[in-house]
Amino acid sequence: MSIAVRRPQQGGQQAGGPAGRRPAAPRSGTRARALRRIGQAALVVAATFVLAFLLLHALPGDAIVARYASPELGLSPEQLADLRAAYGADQPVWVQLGLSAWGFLTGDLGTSLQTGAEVSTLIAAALPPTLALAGLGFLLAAVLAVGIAALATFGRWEPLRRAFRSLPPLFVSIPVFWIGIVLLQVVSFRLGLIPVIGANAAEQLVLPVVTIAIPIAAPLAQVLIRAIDDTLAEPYVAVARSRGASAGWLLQREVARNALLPTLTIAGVLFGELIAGAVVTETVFARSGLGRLTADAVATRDIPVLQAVVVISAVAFVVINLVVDLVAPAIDPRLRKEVRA
Amino acid sequence: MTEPLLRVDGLAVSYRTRQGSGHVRRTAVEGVSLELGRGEVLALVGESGSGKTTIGQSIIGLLPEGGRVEAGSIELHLAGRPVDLAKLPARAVQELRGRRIALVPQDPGSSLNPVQTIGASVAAPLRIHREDARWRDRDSIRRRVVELLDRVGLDDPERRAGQYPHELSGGMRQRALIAAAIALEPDLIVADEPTSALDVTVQRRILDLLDELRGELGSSVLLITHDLAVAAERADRIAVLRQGALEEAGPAREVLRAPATAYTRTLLADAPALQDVAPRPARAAGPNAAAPLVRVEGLVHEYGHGRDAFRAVDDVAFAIERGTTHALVGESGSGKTTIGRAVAALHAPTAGSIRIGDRDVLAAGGSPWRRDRSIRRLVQLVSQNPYASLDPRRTIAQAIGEPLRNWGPAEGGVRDRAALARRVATALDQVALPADVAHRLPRELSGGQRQRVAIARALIIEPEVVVLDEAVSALDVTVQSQILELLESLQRDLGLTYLFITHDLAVVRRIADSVTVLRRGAAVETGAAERVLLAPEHEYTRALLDAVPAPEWLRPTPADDRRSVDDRRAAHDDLRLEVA
Repeated sequence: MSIAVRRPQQGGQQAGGPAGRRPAAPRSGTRARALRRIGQAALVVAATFVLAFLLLHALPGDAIVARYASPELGLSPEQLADLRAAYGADQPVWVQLGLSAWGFLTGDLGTSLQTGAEVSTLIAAALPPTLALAGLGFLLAAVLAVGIAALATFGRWEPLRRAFRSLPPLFVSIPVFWIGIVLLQVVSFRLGLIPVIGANAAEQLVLPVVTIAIPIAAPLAQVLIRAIDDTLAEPYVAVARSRGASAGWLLQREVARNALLPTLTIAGVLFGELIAGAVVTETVFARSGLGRLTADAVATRDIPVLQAVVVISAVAFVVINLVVDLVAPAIDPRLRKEVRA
Repeated sequence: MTEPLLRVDGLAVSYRTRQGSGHVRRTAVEGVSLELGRGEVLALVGESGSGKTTIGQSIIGLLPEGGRVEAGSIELHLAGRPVDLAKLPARAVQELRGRRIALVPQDPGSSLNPVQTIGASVAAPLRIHREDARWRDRDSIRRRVVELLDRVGLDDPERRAGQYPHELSGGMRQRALIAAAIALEPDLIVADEPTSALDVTVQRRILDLLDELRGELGSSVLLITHDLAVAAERADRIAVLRQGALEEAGPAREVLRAPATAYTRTLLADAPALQDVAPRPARAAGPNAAAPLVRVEGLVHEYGHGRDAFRAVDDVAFAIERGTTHALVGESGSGKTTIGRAVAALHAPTAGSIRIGDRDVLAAGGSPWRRDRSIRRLVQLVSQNPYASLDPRRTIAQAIGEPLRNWGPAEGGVRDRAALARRVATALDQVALPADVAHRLPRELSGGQRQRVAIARALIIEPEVVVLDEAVSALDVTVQSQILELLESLQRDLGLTYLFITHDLAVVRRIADSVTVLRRGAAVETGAAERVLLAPEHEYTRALLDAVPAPEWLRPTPADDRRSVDDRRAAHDDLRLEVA
């Protein structure tokens, strides 16, 4: 996954006099670039699929053995072989890979070795709660990050600015599970604000969302603070002040958009954090969802489920970063046409 | 005499700087008093660190963080009673900024918000100061923006208003910034080095525009510049600053024709555009004339491929005789640096040939993956910014010694520690740096000292040709003059051949034996310096020469020309001693 740093230099790009003389790049150039980028994304997903498949199959012993070979079941070696044949586990790896890939393309994700249910059914059940958790978590993280960064840079009182500047490093260093446990202890058990048992759907979401948001808000706020600092040091901000601009004007019109771009890039990368966060958070709060499904599948070495989870995570990650890349030119006009050397 | 618009009295400014674990306040400006009349241009001139920009920032109320006005007053006399900007609450000064006092910034490249259209940037003062009833609605603001862009001479202002900064050239951006500055017809325009980042021909047009607008609006201009020639040409009055204090001030002609202080006299003597130097006379054709040391032929360099290819250098040819200086002159984008890097074997051109002596540079160098490095012992490069080209964590001795350590003893390299130290000491001595510099880091040195280090590093493996890419452009005039002297004496002593890349024709006049004038990658004129500079054949060369700022009344008289070079140098040295 390539992460382009989008900080184009102003000026310097036109080697031969006014760039205005060149006609604007035709629309087709932009579309070709978008298509190329989408192609790259598809390639990343395909590579992830193959890599995940090979890694999962490289694990010692196969899942059939793990599931059915225990002596209590009393299956004979012939019966085991039949089972393996039924699951296609007796074929060469590359044939299994091909079959699995074809399955994914046609929407057949296989069956869970542990429960015998269709993987697609399991995923369909697990996805909505996780999407709610991740979506709300990310939203809260964004709000927290913007709030912290704004107070840390534009706060009216220096000690306040300093206090907010030191928050992100603190948050970064707290592990997710610890936040979850402490929140549960304090909010639910000590203060009794949210019942542990019998809470409604909204109440159930509050603590997990906070837990998953904090470790994402922290690096996001750090990057945003840094980006705002960098932007404030730009000559065009001094020029805007020389026109009589107030702090509010500077933040809104000069700083916000310029500081957004690096932050957006990092936000895309942090999305991966969200997937990892869901595993821990759902386990700590005993919620059902994709994270929990993953944790269970790892415990029972349920390879078809793991394969599906890995591919879905990869697709989500790639799509988010693709969106970030395609949105970037809307924020920064310098990215709208090919920059020449 | 009527009351001045601006009266600065006993101004003192200090900055908070880190020292050890705590902070100390360092005085940047002390006891400066100035007056600027209505409709007048006052030039603040001085070298870097003289406090000229700090004064400008104090007036406009935009001192950087840690800066503070310690004493004195900055009175602005608008209609009615004067206000003291130094004591006015921040809110009230903010009200005046953009409306009564406007700024034309130094670097048009970074002074426009890259994600805003030109129109939005120009409209900013109109939108910020909403109290003016004329600019309350979108349409009238848009009309005013187009009118302003038209006024500052941008073609097709409607389209320009919708474009982004990166789509405009430097000169066009500076015009847009001027349009924004004059949007509310300010009484005072602070122009902080408004043309330092621009080409000479563009500089001239921008300064003309500022002059015109001043006449039209009756505004006063505080022109902050390091360039005495610009000040001489454009200012009514000049104030010379040195190390935060006022050296002298008065009407431009008086100050420059009969400077009261020795410091001003050295500034004048060192300003290349004001120097009474005739171009180097063409040398009598020596025995080597038929076989020049450096020979560049049919040089072409393209960036990019296919339809998008951009031809940065287009069929350029020139030759340099051994022991002489050849200047490549041109504005930004003329391809001069590309040529310099090709001659220094740092990249391979698309086509053409470069020979140094009997060696083919392109066969030997060009790509860092080529095995044969021996070309590096023949040609070296000194670049514009010595701070960026020196590793900040290495001592000067390590930096200068590095080229020697890169070679085996058989190839002229030195690995032995004591021998290396001796060679470094010799090199430092050669560029007139004290021996104790060896153990310091680049940041502990001044700009001029760093450039000496860069020269020493280039010379330590004893090359025959040195490519100097804008090697003196970032330096203050006095330091620039000293570095040029150093280069001249090194050339005399070591028989070096220079390829001197510069945008500054005044410097060319002083140092070059032959010149190639470049424009958009093509050579428009090439020949002996005396011929090209005194009798230019191409109109572009003439335009470049005309654009060098220097008012008629300061141009050297024929009598001055008759003074011998040695006389001038002796007088010059006396002056420097007096100042030091």
